[in-house]
Amino acid sequence: MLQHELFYSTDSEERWITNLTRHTNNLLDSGWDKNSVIDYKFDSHGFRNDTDEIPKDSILVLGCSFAQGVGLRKEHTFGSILSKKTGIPHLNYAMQGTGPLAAFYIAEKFIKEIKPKYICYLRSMITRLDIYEPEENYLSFTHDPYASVNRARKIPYLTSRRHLSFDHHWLALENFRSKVNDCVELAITKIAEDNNAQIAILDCCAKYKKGTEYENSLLRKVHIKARDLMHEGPYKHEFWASKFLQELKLDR
Amino acid sequence: MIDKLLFYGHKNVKNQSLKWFPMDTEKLYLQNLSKFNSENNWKDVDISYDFNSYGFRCDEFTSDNNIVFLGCSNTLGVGLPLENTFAYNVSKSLNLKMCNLGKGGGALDTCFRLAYYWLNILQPKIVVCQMPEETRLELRDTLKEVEEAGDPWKTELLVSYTHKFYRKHWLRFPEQYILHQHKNLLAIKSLCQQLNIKLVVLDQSIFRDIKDSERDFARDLAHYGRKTHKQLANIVLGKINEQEY
Repeated sequence: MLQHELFYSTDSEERWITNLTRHTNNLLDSGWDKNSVIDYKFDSHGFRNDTDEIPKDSILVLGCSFAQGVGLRKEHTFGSILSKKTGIPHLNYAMQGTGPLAAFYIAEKFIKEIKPKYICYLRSMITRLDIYEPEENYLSFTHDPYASVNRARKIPYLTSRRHLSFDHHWLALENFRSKVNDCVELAITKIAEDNNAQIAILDCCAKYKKGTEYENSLLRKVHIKARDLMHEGPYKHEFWASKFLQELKLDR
Repeated sequence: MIDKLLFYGHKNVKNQSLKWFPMDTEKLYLQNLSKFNSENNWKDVDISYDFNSYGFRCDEFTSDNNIVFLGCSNTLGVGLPLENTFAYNVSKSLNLKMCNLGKGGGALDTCFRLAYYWLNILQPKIVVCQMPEETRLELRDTLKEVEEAGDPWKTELLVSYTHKFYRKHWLRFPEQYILHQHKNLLAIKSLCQQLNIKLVVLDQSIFRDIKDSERDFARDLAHYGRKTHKQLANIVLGKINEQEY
């Protein structure tokens, strides 16, 4: 069943109202005013796609809220920009609040079915740990502060950022988390290869200082944020789209 | 800076030669004395567990003519003299140098962790991955606990069967650990593919597939014994031969 939401995840109505009163100038600087509307549409899996249709030879987008485009209109997400520039339809299977393990779970579950031609994985924060939770009542477990406002989220994965064991073991050393992340990337790459898909991986948190002239012009405008004033705005998405096009050699 | 703990086996026993190694303990041996029979006769059998400088039960590593074994205590050969282990016999048959990265209590996370670091360095011709029990999870413990660990069984990297988090969430749905294991295996396959290394995977069913009459037990009467390892070595050699060089 398809769903519509006007607010989603950190781009919540509550935050919107707060920002309108407390951060009015920041919102205006990023092009948002009190009449700004975002229509979030979700497919029956809870992913940000307008329909359940699976186009052939598509671009599959994986990642967290950055890739999903929280706080942005769909046409401003890098997936949509890639589609516009290449004429290749895209499917957005990114999920807010998730880490690399969820990206693997989603890749494993859906790539065989979707058979995409290209995969764009915008790697999320590696501090996140995802535990598979197939029951609907996962919200009672999760310590993800955004899950409770995320009614459209049907995918049974959760990210426990504040769990005691999580803090104690998972966050103990960065090198360990990096190793787990590398493991995930190797595994997703293998799934892509086994399904004849070309994959490109970018880091959502990477700091880019220089690129092409076009990319530099975009980087100068990355202070323009999404509606929640937390997520990256349309220019960063254009920048990511440009990088993915280069990685996948679709820019030629 | 590379975190050295990430590429150690049993760090606490590196460069040591031990007569006992958990769970093959002297205490258990004494308890088992009355249970030994002609099939599993371990009375007065001495076993030497010799660990290299990285805490693995094999010679010091060199970079040529290697075969790497990944796995848990069954690969390490708990309760067995080294020359009875399948890893030793496969290596000997192929005239390759055994790099036994098997780790007691290890998970497939452990196999990936060690493969990720060592395969590039050891450049083996073949990797044999004996998949540990799928429910296992390896998590990095805090540095404080690492420093306090004195018992070889209290590993630097935690496989916590009793931990609340593990019991409550990890074991709750089999999909969780099955997917996790699948991820690790795909990553190991991807590594081997990138490095052009032949990979042989032995899943848990391999032990079940060995006939009961060919299955015996090690000195701790918990791990697999001489006959089982001999069968296992034959299976591995068969699998290696099935794949073309």
